[in-house]
Amino acid sequence: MRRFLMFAAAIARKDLLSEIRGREFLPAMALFGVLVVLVTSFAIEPGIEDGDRVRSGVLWIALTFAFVLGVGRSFQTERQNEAIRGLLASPVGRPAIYLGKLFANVVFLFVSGAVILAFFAVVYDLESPRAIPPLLAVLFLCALGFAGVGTLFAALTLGLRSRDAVLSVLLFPLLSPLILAGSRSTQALLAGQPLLGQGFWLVLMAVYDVVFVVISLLVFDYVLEE
Amino acid sequence: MTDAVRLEGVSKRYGSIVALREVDLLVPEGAFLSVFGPNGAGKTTLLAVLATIARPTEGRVAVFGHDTLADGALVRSQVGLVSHDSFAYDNLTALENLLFYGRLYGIGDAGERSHDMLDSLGLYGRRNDLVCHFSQGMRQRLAIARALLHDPRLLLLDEPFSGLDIHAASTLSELLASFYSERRTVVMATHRLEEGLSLSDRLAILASGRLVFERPTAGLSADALQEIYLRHVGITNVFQEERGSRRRP
Repeated sequence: MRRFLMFAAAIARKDLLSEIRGREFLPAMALFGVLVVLVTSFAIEPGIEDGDRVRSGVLWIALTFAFVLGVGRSFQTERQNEAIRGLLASPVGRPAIYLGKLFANVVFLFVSGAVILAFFAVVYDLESPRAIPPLLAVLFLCALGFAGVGTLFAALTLGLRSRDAVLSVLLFPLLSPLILAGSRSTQALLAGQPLLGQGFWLVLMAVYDVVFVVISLLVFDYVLEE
Repeated sequence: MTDAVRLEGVSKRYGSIVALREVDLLVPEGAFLSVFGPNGAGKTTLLAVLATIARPTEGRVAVFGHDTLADGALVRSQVGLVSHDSFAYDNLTALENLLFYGRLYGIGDAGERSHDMLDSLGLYGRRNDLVCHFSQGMRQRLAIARALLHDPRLLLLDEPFSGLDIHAASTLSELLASFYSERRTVVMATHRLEEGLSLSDRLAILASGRLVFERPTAGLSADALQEIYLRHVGITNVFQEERGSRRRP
């Protein structure tokens, strides 16, 4: 188990270092989300009726598209110089490869999501800054779920030419419970309700995360078959 | 002596494409086998199966007596793979690439070993440069350093000379000769008949996924090898068929 986690940590560390150097991933995701928030803000007036629901929708549209863009690129570094074959030829078990990529993806999604959330808070003049920490908790649970499913499907579509389109088609139906839970809890938090009052949505997100990460770990051995 | 490589009735299919057909092959420990064949003959697939990157659809593969399906991690820890791609990460330095692979192979003194490998392949002065700034030859040398980092017992080479300049090709030949002299096993897939013949002590020819010829190289001249190759691969026939089809209305 220790070796398994060490291998996963080495892969995650490599991905993070590669991203710090290349900046291919995070800026694109954050910028995409920020632009969605900005463009929608032109159309939504400040005093709009049912404003929390609309704002929550805007935030989740931005997060969802940015996250899908991000997970779609998560195996891009492995495509350079066919590095994926080097990983597969090493003694590392394929579930450790999944876990390593998952760790890195969670960091990428959470950081880009936090940037989008911060921009959203400024543009939509978030009344209560106390809503930010619970929103970050929701963001983390959703980032974990997105990364859990996204890493699996990004690996599955690695060899496809139209992988971005296929990935989006495959991901959105699977991610809909997570997006629903995220947007509903965000709506309540924006309305000033406490995080603990969102028990049902939080449990849904946590269960979703655990189920999909465990399933992915179990099937990943067959997903990366050449 | 244990066979380094044993393939029994190995086939590999990718959907409707048959890349390997019922291949039986024995490579004794300490041998240097060159596998020749035209594009699409199945050479890369054969190496992928040996490296456990690809699972055989049928048949059994054992490396140093270990089944590649049952003991995949153990097999991979004893195998080094060099392809025409470097498997290196462009946004990491040469040293960081080797340290990363050192961690994956659980090498205790990965730092020292990485420095030694970079030194022996003439990359020590560029160890802190990003791989994206490397030439094709330098990438290939880095790939060799990566493949030898964990001191493998079996080295798999897929067209290792492609993209190398004369100096780098000569360094690689010396490295392979040194590796082979330590009684370690090499399986090399290549188009270059003369290079393969001069380096190896056994040769095999793959055509359309079938192993059509195999024998030791002793007493075999380059001309004789070329004749055997053309006879088994059927290049002449292909050209004749092509000319014939052009004449058809």
